[in-house]
Amino acid sequence: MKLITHNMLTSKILKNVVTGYPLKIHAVKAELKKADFQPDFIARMIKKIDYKTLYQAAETLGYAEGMPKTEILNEEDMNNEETLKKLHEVLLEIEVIEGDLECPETGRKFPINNGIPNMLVNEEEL
Amino acid sequence: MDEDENYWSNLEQVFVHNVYERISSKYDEFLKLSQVRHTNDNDLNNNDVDKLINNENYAFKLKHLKSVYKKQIEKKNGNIQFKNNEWPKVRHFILQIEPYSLIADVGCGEGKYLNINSHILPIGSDRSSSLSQLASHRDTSNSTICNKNQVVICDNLYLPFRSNLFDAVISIGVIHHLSTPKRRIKAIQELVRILKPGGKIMIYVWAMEQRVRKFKSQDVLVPMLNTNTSSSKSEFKFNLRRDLSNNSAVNSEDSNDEFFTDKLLNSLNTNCQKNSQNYLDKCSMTSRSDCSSKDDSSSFNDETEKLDDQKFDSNEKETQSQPNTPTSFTSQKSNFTDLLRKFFSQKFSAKKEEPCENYSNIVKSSPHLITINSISKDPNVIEHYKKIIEDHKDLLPENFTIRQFPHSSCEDTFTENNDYSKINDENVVTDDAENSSNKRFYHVFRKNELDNIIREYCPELNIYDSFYDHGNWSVCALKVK
Repeated sequence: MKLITHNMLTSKILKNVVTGYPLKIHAVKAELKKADFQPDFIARMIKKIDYKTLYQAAETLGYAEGMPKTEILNEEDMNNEETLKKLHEVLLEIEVIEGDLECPETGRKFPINNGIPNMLVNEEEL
Repeated sequence: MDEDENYWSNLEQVFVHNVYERISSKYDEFLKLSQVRHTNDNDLNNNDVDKLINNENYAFKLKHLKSVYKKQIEKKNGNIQFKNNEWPKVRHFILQIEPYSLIADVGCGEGKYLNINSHILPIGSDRSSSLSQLASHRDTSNSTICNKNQVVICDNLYLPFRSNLFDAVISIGVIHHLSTPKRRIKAIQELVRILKPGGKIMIYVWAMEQRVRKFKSQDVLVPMLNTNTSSSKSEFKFNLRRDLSNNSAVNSEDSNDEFFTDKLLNSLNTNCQKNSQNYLDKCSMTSRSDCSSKDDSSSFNDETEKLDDQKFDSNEKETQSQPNTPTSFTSQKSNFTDLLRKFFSQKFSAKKEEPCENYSNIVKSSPHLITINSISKDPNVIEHYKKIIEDHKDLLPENFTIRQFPHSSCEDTFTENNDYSKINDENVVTDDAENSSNKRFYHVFRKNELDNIIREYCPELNIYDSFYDHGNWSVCALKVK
């Protein structure tokens, strides 16, 4: 699971959960694997992602250094190639292989195995 | 979840999710290879087809066809191959998506649509963890964006994604596995929820109106493999007696023992798509002689029904006239070859306007395919038939297999190379006999049913295209801003 995927996941499907976002990451095993840098893609994704969530996730995994420490990226950051490269690394190069995602409201944990988060819930939880 | 919901959810667990888990477990060997090569760009193009049509030389055609197939298949370690069997219109939809888009493939299965467009980021999701594994391990070397497929295990009814997020959403062969109208509506609404305003969605569901197959009811259990055991039948009765609010009783399909040569026909067909839009789709035949239940499809009234009837008529006739014994097989050996020759030559000289009629003629003039179906219960006969194929494999596309019926839009695509006799090997058969419930539940959609659900329950969607493709009903829609 890359952080771009994490940025989109919520546990709102659980009964009585209001936002279920962002999910806390508990990484047992994470890797960094190089990918081609596509500035246009990153620039476009920045508008979709929740930056605060991305920052927190990167911080949890120890990769936040070099990211603008802010809640929302400003225009200048979005046009700064160095920043975009850093965001590229955080969004697309870090891969959580083993661990959990935790619902911020209920503490329910969703396992990540082999890089795949399992977001299935039991009938009683719906 | 109320009691009824639980019942239907359990039904899907048994007749959809468990079956897919079993299917995917057969891919384990495949998964070990980890890097699955997937070629997309070697489709037969229009020029190739023209050449084939214009050239009268039969040998040339076959040779050319084989080389095209070779290109389509990449081998890994010499014995595993992967055939590309996407629906061309789905592929087209994905290729049309603007670069740098984020798309969701909900019910991505083994991930065959995840790596079509190298300039978008797809996020696959599937209920099956083993299929998710396969999707996640696919080769992504053609992607300019991501070095690993992003896949999430989740339920279409409860998608764990933020709302209004994806630039496009696809749902190919998924909604038909949900067992009640309520659940199908909810599943579609979830797809719409995660789609951003201005985003596009494509949905494919299996159609009630098939050219060859006749469904007795809209809610059917379709055999995955040969499950002709008494235990499976009693189990079905037990499970399916309960019929709730909707009028549609769930029926077990009778045709448990069908035996198909459709791999050849179907794969040919995929390649002929561009040449002939109205090409017949699943060229499989059934041995079912029960064609009396026409009342089921009374509302359906276009050319496909006529085709159905034609085929069934000829099918029935031949089935009855052929003795159910293997004695005629030796003589069929040469006939089978003739049939293939005939098939190839007619296939490629077929005029655009009447491809189906052409095919129909072949069916009528050649009882062998049908005979194969009707006598397929006898293992000796199956062996014999396999041998005929083996003896003539130089005439066949490289990935030709005799395939027992699971014919669906979710056809699995893994076959072993160079050993045609192994395709239905004991392993699979035994496995299947043990798992007597290797049938998948489908709600097959009638014409306009999907459109009507969307119009009624998804007011934010604007349908801009709606069509029949390869036995499926499909809708493309735009989420209004």
